[in-house]
Amino acid sequence: MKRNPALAIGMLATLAAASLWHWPGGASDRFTATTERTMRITLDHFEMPAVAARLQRDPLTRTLRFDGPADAFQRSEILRIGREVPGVANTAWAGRPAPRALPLLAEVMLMALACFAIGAVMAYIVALRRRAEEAIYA
Amino acid sequence: MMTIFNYYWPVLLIALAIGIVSGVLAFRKPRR
Repeated sequence: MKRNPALAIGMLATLAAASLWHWPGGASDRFTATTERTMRITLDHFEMPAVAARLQRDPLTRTLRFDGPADAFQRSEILRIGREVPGVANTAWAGRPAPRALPLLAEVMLMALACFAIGAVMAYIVALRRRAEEAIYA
Repeated sequence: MMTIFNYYWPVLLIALAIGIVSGVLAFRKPRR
């Protein structure tokens, strides 16, 4: 197979695998459920059952959004505590602007492409070595 | 960021495998 088609098809397959795992594979649902449950338990622990915590959707990002009654101190502390939840990148109250965040799917695709590149570079190094051996000994 | 690995490591392994396969195909010595 020629060089560019082989790499392009591999990249497309990587992106397809990442998105299949993300949504039909249920990884995004598991991540969302675990994260929101952890924050729910924390909020209940701090006796704030009226405050709702939800990951930002459409597209899904790792930004946790809070909604509900809280005074100024509680509002800032909840934001701080929310950032401690594993997997959460940003926190914001509903209606307030949050820092721009990449969608979770885009983050996963970037990570998958990085892994693809590592694999391709490994194969390239092996191929280089083989060629060098042939150039020297053959 | 590290937490996502707990949910997505299988697909990252798959990506690594795809990378190796396409690398092998792409950088194979051209047949004469």
